[in-house]
Amino acid sequence: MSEVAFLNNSLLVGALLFGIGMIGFISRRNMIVMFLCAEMMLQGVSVSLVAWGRYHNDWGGQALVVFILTVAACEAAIALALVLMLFQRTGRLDIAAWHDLREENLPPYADQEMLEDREPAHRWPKLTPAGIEPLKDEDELLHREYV
Amino acid sequence: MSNTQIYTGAAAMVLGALAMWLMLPRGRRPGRLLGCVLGSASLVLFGSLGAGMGTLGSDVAFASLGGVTVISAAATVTFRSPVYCALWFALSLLGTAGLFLMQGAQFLGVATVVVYAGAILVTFLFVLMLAQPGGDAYYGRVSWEGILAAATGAVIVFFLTVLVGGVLNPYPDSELVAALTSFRPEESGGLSARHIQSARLEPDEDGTWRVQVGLNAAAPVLSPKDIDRLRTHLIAEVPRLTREGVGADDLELNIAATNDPLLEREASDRTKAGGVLNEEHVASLGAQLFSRHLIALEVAGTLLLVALVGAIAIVQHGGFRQTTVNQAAAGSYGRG
Repeated sequence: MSEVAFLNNSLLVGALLFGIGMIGFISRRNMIVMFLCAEMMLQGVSVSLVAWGRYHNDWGGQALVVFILTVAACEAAIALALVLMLFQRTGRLDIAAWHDLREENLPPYADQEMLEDREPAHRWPKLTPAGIEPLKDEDELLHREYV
Repeated sequence: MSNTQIYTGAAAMVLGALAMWLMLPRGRRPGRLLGCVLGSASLVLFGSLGAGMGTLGSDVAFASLGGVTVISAAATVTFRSPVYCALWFALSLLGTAGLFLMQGAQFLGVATVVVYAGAILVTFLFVLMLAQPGGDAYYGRVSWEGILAAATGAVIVFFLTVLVGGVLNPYPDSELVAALTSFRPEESGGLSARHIQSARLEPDEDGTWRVQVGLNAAAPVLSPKDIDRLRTHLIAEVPRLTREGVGADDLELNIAATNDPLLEREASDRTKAGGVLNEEHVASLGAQLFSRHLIALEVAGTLLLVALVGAIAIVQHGGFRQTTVNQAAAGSYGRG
């Protein structure tokens, strides 16, 4: 197996993972999805590191990925605690709820007119009545609910 | 990296950026299907950028693992419901773990599945279910500047790939390699394709042409007389040189053992004791971690403990502060 070609291909995949994660981190508004995207960028870096380590026949790449894994676990713990706390304060996971933290000279974020794609309300199927209508119970007919 | 590859990369980037923009949640505007089509086209172009690794089996395995990883990564970013995002991310992690296994990093492959997909992702899902019991929210259906984000990502990936492809240059010039391997020297053995690490043919500004050939350690050493013969051989055999009518004086021939010593490493180095692909892989990684990286490892363990304590502290204080809005308004944030 050609090692240079393998390294090249792995770096391609790593760069793609990093780029896709970055696009998501910039553009998504749900805080949890943003953190997923940050983890994805870490994955891209890990793939590249392992590929370089293999190419250079060096353990450094894999050792570094072990540390990345550790830091990612710490990051996830703290980030999720923060997200939960922020959620308790505003009641939503929207990062735009925290635009108060912007710099002084920037205008406040105004939600544009969202052309929302509202899902149509569920229409449950109705069964057409079929068969013989059962006899009505006389007791039930005489029974009044709210006496 | 030749011009064709740069253009292919640029086309793949433009298509990929368009596809990401179309697929990102943008309220009502349609185009997800078109985005999927463009995305697949971009992925195919990307696949053509990959260099062949020698055997069909490894090519197919790598292409399918990489494809699963990248496609599910794109789905993670573009799905509206965060639960689906998390599930697609799990698939992407499995693809990455497969890539790790293919690269010979067995421990990391298993650790990714256990730690990431098993622990971190499940925690994400827990938080999602705590925070969004009602299902989708409107802010999942819209995104910030989608087109700018996609363009930024595409530019970064383009430069990463172009730089990587330019530095590594895993695509030897096929005409030049054919001419080199058909050359029969008088005083030593001939060159074969496995001796040639890199082969480039570039015109210079002053009309001369430069041939740079990197040979690995197993290649025979060519005598000066043979190199002169190789010059005339190349002029006759490489169509570009013949077409341009390059004389023997205008051809600068650089044949060298590759100057990067790391390129000369034989494949067998990796499987020897201590190499990254040796038989006792996990034991060797552990030995590395606990000898060379011992202090870093201890620090990482401490970091985990600190993060644990910190997470608990954040959650406790955050919940308390919310109930004391007046205190918060009076500016006593952080006093608990």
